[in-house]
Amino acid sequence: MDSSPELQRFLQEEKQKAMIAEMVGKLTSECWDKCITSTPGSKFSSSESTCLANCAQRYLDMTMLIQKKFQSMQQ
Amino acid sequence: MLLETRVSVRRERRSQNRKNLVRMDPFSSPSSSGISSGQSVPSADVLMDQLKTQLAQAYAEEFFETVRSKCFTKCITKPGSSLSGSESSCIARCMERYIEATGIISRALFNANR
Repeated sequence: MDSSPELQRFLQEEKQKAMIAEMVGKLTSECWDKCITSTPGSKFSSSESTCLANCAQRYLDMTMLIQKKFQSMQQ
Repeated sequence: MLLETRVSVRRERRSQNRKNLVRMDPFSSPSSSGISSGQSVPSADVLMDQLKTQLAQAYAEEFFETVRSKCFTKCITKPGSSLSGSESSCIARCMERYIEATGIISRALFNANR
């Protein structure tokens, strides 16, 4: 009962979800600061929404770049 | 990581609760608290439900805190002796935009896995 496999699997899933939620939260926070420079309006301008989407994608690109660089540094 | 810490803290708390038969756990659901000392180990389902509720609450608290901070920065530039109408409507718009931004970021992250 202490560590039933069902509970373990559930905890793993929830941990995954928590990690994803944390990443989305952190990224939204940073991209908001970068992209929304003026007072918030009643909708995003197209440049603001494009900036937000770009921000997330560039963050992923950057992550891969850093991984590759680390790998090559270890050789 | 904030959420991981919360999950592990609550896991600790739950394993302690299992050892203390009669201790009152403020997070336990009505069905598992206040029971006779004959049986007190909550089922896996109850634990999973409790955890889901607690996690949802943790996410909500964190989100609330972030929105509060961002919108204070954007909207309250010169604090007056009360919240002006423009400050209040700025805050309302800011909250909506921030929620929208969260959606844009989530979609961008998950559509990137092509």
